[in-house]
Amino acid sequence: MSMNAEMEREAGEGSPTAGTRPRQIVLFGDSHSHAVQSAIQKRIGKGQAAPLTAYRLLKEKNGSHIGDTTFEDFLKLIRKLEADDVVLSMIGGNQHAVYSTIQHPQVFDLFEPGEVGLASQSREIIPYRAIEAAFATGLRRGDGKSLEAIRAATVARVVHVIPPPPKRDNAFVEQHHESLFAVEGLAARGVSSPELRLKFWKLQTQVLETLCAEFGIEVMMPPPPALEHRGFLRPEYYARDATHANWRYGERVLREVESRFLPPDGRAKSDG
Amino acid sequence: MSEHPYKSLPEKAFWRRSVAAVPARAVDPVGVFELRIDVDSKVATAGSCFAQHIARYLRKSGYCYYVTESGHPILPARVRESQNYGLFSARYGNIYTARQLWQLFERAYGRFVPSEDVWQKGADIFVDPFRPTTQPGGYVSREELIADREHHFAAVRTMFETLDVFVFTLGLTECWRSGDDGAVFPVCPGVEGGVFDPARYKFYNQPVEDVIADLTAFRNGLEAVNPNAQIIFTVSPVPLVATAEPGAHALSATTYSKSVLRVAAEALRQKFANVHYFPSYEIIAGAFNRGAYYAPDLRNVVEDGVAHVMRLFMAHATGEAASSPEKQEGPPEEDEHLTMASRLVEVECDEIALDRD
Repeated sequence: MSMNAEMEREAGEGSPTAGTRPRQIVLFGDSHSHAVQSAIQKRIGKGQAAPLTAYRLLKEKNGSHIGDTTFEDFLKLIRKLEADDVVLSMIGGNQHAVYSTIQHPQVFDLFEPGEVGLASQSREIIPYRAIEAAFATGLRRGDGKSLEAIRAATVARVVHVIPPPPKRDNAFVEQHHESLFAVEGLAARGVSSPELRLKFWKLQTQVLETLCAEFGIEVMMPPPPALEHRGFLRPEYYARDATHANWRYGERVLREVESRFLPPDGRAKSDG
Repeated sequence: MSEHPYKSLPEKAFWRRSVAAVPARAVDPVGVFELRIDVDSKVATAGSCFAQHIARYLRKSGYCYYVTESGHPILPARVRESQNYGLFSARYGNIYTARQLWQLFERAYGRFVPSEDVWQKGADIFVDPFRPTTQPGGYVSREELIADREHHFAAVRTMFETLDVFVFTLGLTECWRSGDDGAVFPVCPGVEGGVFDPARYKFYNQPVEDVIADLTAFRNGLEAVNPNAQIIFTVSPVPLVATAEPGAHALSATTYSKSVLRVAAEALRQKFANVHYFPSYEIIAGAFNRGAYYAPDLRNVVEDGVAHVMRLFMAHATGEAASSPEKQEGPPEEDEHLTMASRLVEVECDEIALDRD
């Protein structure tokens, strides 16, 4: 079920100005929205308000349902919002992991703009702009269509939340990978280097920023406290799999949302 | 009745019987062409833009269009295509002149290292002067460019050493070369990158003896690394987009350029048993088709013309009809690793709801 801000709305918090309609903030996403939904549940358990209502894309797979809201239903919902409201997107976000989590049998690397001294002569270098073209094509045809549809459906501010960065700890990734790794024989290929995973995440972020700018969508970067100095996800925010962040990360996102979109008296008091 | 040599000549030796009195689509100007290509023959291509048509037809014909630099399989097929992988057998871009071909061969084997090796167009836009349009958007750094170039040269060496047939379409005699070391550029510096400096770059319109010398050097070099390699020369029918020859007219300059290339190709064909000539130029530019094979710009070749060339090429080289490339378009290749990795991430995304944290 969707995790919402009923308590907050009932208390009249989140309103930009007294006596006016409270600002509504809704979030919609795929797997990465689970961290936010979990964080909201934790808050509810502590009797705290959450700044937003979070929905997860409803999918049916092998007879079971995952998520709570179809994309079409979410579009209907946000059509009713007003210009002062906020729609947060956590759509997709794991394309970088597809490219860079498991070591490809034809080992490769890429130079980032400005990067020098890579000197991985034993590895094939894929030109950065070739990979960038692959991401731009894939994202434009996939998540880009959804983002465009969201933008077209509402007059509210639309903000795309950049997915969490990769985990630096290869041992963790190997230990907590999905069991399909073994079934498919992927584990034998090993895990890509953390540096490669970070490069792909940064490249995806850059492509998403370009697409969002084109669509008139704002971008929200991962909360800085959740990141190591090099940009990896800090271990305390790891979910127990290869690619996702946990509820603590979701809580950081909630605080970032509160900080950006709610007045100071509308924010949670607990440190979660 | 007197006897003379013309009496015993075949139909194709006579203009009226083989050109004027034959429907345009049936004109076959192929002279001596004894090379046979079978489905296992590794056929590599290079040359000017017209060579792209040959590559395109070969790729779809069921014959072995030999590509040694196809791009990393993690790149989707359509992206690899957009990044010019597979356009030719290696990602060298258009090779217009005989000197450029010979230079590529020498550079691939490390025997020639031009002094000018990188052009910078912006803070993170670097261009290879010797294949300036190959990487769309350019390279992000000098280091990336050089790393990709090394990979490219390895692919070029593999191609030369393992191909069975090398089809080279001669395009131009005009080019620009460095005053420092004679390195030639496919495009005039300043057009796709670099800065034109008249003190540094010199116009060079290859005379026929230079073209013959370059092609001979290349043929001998190829033979040294691949003794069984066969070479097919063909001349591009696409006119010069512009001439830099002082005082010259574009049409006259085109005639000069194509004539030199045709003469050079014939000179090598007559001298070397492994060199063959295929008359692409004659099929497209021949008066028999009354200009029908050129687009309204009188420069680009229309698909009917390309089809005529390739129909005859396949008939003479393979004994089979050419297939239309459009009819044999297959589904884009999917990288097996990427497909599995996608499934894996998808499963993880579905199962994050199992509350793993």
